[in-house]
Amino acid sequence: MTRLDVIEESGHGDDPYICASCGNCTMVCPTFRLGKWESFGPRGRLQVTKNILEGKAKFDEEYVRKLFMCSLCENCASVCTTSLKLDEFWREARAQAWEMGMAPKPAKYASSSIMRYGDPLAMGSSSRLRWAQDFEIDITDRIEANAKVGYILGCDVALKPQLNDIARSMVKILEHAGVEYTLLGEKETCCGAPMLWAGNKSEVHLIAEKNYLLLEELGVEKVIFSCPSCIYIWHIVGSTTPHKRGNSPLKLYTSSQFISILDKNGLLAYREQPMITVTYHDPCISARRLGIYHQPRDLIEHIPGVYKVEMAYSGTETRCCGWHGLLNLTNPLVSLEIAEMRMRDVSVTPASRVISECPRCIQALDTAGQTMQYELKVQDITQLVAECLVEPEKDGGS
Amino acid sequence: MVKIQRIEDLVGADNVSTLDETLGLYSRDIAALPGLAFQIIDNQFDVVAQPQTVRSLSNLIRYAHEHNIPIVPRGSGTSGWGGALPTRVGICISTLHLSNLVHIDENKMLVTVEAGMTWKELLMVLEQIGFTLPVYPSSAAAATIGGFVASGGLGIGSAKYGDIREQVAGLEAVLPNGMIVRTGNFLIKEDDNETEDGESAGAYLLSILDQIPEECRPEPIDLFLGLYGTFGVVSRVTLRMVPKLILQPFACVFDNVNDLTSAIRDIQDMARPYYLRFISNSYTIKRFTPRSSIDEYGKFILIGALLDTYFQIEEDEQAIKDIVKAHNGWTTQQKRAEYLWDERLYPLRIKTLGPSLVPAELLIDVEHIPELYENVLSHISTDSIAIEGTVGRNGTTSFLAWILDDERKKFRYTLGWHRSFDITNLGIKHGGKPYAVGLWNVIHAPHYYGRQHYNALRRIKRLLDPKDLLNPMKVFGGRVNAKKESLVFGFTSGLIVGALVHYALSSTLGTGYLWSILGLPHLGFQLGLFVAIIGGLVGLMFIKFLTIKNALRLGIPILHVLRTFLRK
Repeated sequence: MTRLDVIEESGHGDDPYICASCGNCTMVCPTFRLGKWESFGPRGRLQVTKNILEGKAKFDEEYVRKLFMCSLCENCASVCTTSLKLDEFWREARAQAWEMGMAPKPAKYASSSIMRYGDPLAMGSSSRLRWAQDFEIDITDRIEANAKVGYILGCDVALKPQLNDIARSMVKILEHAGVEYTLLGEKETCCGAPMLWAGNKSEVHLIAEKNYLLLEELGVEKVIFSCPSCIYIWHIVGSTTPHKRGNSPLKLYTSSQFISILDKNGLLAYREQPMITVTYHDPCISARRLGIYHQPRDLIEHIPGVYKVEMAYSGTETRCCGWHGLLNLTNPLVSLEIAEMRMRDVSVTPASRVISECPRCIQALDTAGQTMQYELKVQDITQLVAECLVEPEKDGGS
Repeated sequence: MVKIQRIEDLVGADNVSTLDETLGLYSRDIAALPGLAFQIIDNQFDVVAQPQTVRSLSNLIRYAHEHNIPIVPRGSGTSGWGGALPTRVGICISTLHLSNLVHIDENKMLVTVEAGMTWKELLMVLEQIGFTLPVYPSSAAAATIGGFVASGGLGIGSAKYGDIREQVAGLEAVLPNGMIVRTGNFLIKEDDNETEDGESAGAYLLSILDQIPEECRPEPIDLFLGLYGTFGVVSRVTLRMVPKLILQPFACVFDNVNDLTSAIRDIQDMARPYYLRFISNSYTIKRFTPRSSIDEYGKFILIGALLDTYFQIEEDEQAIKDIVKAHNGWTTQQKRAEYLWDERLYPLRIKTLGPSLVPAELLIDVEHIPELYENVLSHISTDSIAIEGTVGRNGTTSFLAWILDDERKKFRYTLGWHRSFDITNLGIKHGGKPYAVGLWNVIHAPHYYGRQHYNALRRIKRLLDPKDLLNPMKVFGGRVNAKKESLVFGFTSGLIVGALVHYALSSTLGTGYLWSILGLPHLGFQLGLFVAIIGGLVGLMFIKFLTIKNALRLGIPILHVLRTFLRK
């Protein structure tokens, strides 16, 4: 018998026995589609975990390699016949690997980078406002301003140049709608999600607290996130932190959620578009975990001249983009192949753009589009909305 | 001896695995077997292969045939009857990656798919063009077309359309010698380049069937339906499809099993529903809480769906309401009925309460539900059993008993396995038969298939696959591959029995006294030792030549007696 303390203490020790081996999870698992063998799918991994618990197999490097080949897309949990919280199970299994010092190097690097620099890219706080350089809107007064609405960009959007436009688009939308908002600027830190994915459960609270305390000081009541994983982390880590963010008075919104409220209140005015056909890729966390899939579609349909076509596997049945759960760091090739599989779903629709609302999905689909040489615009919902807004009147214009 | 390099040459190196981890995963199905079971079956295959084309599947089977290597076909491993378990090591052929849609003919309402496609994938495709499947399994999300066709059974839609076997218009299978045969109305594009093989294999198969007396000769297609691939590995199937008319779920609740049974019978007569599944009070008391489903907790629920035109549905719905009312039941709200319909693809939800399940499933007449239900509950405590069933056509239904247990309590779990076989025997006493044969119900195979038909099948099996290489031991039984522990047990038991027999005889006949008079005091001991060793060898040979049928006939009653004794 092998004790897997972390898994057992988290209350998931029975899961491998409760698993009905029905195979529903395996059929929807992107890693299984790619790896072809049962051991890559959730059913197989659970069975191997059972073997480890019974002393018939070892918690070895091969097992850990396959744990980190999972993108934590949660599709397995959504179809589980015995309602196992498999997303939690895989995280706890990674935490077990972390405790045993067996987490892959890229995962360790991301985690230590967050602790040291506040982001997984080791870029540091001084890079957090580069997106606003040469931006037509001056945001200086918005930094750490007292306001009811706070906007958390997330590390990817703030630090990766190809995603900076998402932040600029969100600011344009907020300005257009006349929303008083605040930004944390250089003080914004990572939400801690990559640490949790790496298995570093014990330190994640230290970092996850920071943004919350700042927002609280500024009197924020509503928080908009460009990255759905940040919200999710606030929910799951929040319930165990001293501040109990799970029960916090703060209301958390994804981009599409907040923009659709602005839209419904008539605060957004659109220009007629010249027949743009788009399809919407639901990010795993938004659709499956946060239940947000109507809002972005309603928004798209409300923009005149923009038409939406659905691709196979949408809503809660959405397929993973491959970039989640640190897969793009630990197994970049697997990650890219999963992204290409998803891009194939897109490519059979007549859409000329694919819209999403997660910076990782955007990067994944964009990269897949390039490697497949499939010319298609990949945009965040924020970018699409900002692009279609009526231009603001310029002061002194004739 | 399996030559891995040769298999890799045939199906591609990426599609072959000999890793222990992989072999273990492909050597099991959904049933959690007690350790004792591995005394009569093998722990794992020698190799797992996943052919990507029908031609490479055929080549692999041809190779195995030429080198006397046993082969076991496997879909998704979503069944629990042992049909895909290893019995003589060899090669496991996973058909999961033969998953292409081959041809659709909307006018003929037929669709041809490869065996490894899942039912859900096919349903998604058909629904986009306005069709659906007449029958599909409740495990549709993962079960493969080939797996369900090869094992047979009832599913969603069986209340209207019957068994899955009735939905197969034609199929293509690979015979034990590697030939690709096509039977029935197998639909394929005209430019398919494998027709020639199909024709010669067809002639070969007919020449085998000609040796069977006409009165019990099966149709060629029957050899591949519900027989677990013992005559050939199903590679492609032509299925019937039906127009996707309006689907209207309904659910009704009853206080007792008699009212439920009468309602099932009347609804079947009056309304022709597409789907009917009942769950008993032993099920609802465990799955639902009094708070969340106050009308359903501890009651009997009949969940169904109509698939018809708008006007017919309107008429049938009223008829169902009247029937339910006449039998003291009530219908649930539509939203609840839709939820229960959506749950049709999650039949194993009950496993959360186990955490292990030991299943027992039968096919019985609807009329016999109440008496079998009472009988089963008098044998097994209500606390540890949950009963449900899927209704078929012509007054038959499946009767599925989930026995809740915990595989981690190994000794108790092993002893408790006899309960599944006991329920099957009870069902047979009530005029039923096992739901499926696979490996674990081989004793009942003659009853399941009909003795005359079964004997004919046995003869064909001997002609087609004389060395029993294709899915050995399944359906037809055969000698078990006894393990070392069993052989030691057989020898020791024989030794003890031999010694006891000698002791009893010598005491009765007073031979000990005789030997001492003759001045041979040690002869008695030497003779006793000789008899004991002979006994041991007989015991060893007995285990060595034990068949699966006899192993089950002997083992299950022993488990029963042991459990009863230990409980007392």
